[in-house]
Amino acid sequence: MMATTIGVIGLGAMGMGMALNLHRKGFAVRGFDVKRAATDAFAAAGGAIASGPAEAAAGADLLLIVVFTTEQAEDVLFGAGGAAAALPKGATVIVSTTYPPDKAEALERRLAAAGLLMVDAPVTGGKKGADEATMTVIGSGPDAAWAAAEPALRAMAKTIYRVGDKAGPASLVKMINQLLVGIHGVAAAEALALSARAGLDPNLVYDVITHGVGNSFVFERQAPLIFARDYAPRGVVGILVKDLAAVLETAKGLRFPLPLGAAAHQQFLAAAGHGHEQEDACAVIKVYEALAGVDVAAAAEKGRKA
Amino acid sequence: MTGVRACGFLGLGAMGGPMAANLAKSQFRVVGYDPSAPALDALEAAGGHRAASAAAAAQGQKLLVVMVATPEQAEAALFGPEGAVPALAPGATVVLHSTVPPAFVEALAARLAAAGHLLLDAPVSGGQKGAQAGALTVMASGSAEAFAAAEPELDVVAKRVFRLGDKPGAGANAKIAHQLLAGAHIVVAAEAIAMATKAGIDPRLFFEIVTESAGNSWMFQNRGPHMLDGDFTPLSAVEIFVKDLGIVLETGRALRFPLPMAAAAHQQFLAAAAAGHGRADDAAVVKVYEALAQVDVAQAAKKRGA
Repeated sequence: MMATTIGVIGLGAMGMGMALNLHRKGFAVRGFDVKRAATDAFAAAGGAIASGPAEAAAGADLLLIVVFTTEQAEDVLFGAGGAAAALPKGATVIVSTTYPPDKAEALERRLAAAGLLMVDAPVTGGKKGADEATMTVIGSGPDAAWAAAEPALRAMAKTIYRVGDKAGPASLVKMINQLLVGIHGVAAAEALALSARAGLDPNLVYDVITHGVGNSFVFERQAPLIFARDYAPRGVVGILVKDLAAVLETAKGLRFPLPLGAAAHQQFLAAAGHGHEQEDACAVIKVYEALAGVDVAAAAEKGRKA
Repeated sequence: MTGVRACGFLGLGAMGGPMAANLAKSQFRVVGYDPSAPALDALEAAGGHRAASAAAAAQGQKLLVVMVATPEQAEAALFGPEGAVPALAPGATVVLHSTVPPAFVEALAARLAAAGHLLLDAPVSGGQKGAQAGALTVMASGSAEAFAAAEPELDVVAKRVFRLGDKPGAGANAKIAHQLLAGAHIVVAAEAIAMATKAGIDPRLFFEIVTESAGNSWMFQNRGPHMLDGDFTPLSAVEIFVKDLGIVLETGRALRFPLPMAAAAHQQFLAAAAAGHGRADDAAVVKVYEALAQVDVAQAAKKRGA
């Protein structure tokens, strides 16, 4: 049997690891990214590269899109030299972008008009999860699209959820996940900054919290990064500015209040305005540090020496 | 040519209706359009002329006044099928009184310029009463020619015209910052009145105290009585602030400027809309507090008053 061919558009923090895992597991992958450095890195790792979205998609069984925004997804599919026209009829497009559910629904309609199927497949698990094929896929789509996409999803993810039989529900679940990720991130920063201001040893606070009911996945992951002043981008502040805006927009459409989501969004906006948009999301701590004149990493260092 | 006393008028709602009527009563030849037949009847009764479409209202006009509710409506009325812009006389001036995002105004100015027309960015404040009395406050920006062309219209509808420079967008930005205060002040008025009531203070007495003290605001003074009387006849609806604070937050987001107070206020209006009060007067935001804390401001005001 011939290998399944799959075009991958977007070889960024998430897309690179996903494409490499497909390549390693026997898929015939053609990767494309607008950044030359990304395609060079993919080629160096043994992947085949395409000159544009259309070439990545030409004749492929599947197309995986791992871009940042709705506009980018629409552009690579339907813009000049776009992928949609190059795909064979009946091919399945896997869209792993975090965007509002109404955008996912609209994209599915547009693809259907072009004779293409879609799986709405946002992912969670960060760069590490993408690199190590341990991420989670939250997917939704019709049976035929799901059957076509599933082997590729299995090659990239440890856990796969199918939450509906059309595009939309998966994006909605991902949005709700991002609501929690954003709020938990701000709450973690707020708690750590308060600890430093109160003169507590942040290491001790970390130990207590991670063994108690105030703990969260994000707190546990971010506190050590903050202590080490490690703001290297994994998921950046800018992503939460975008994702929380999408959550709030979706809730506004539903006439449903999200006071915590709104407050968290403002803190990420403050971090972006303060110059940290491209830093890891844990840099939201800097808003509290700047306002209160505390330095959590210095307090942690002092605590370790004591 | 300046000083023409004739205009097309698009949007004859709670604000546009009385504004157009005042123009008609001030020797203006007003040709109005609104999708609502009763609105057109009211214009005719005031001496204006009804048109069957936006294009018909704009036919051959040198001056076009727009007072629709949303950017989508403005877009449709100006550029949609049977839209106004192609029907205007060459070199016409469009006066936009609607509250819309500054980015929309800037883009609109460029599109009108490409069609050979001018834009006066002229949002208003003062509510329906101000519109009826011809006593609105206008925050306007645009070229000297646009100001000159709009002057006869502004003389009728406005008590005060603030000139914010020659670039469309400045007016919208001023109005947006104004709406931040207007919206937040209504919510905080409701919060304070509900809290005082819960604490057992006569709400009418509390109202009197605040209006004589430094905690007073224009909105507290104006909307407080609606809350005390339990009279939520919509003079300006909750949904208006769901929209306007949404624009405020979008603008802050584009500027990467955090607005935690506006975000919190927006959520309270969304909560009011979620509870079914979207079309009630904006003072009905007090019902969010009443429902959560099981207080009844109007009931308490009546009891004490008896």
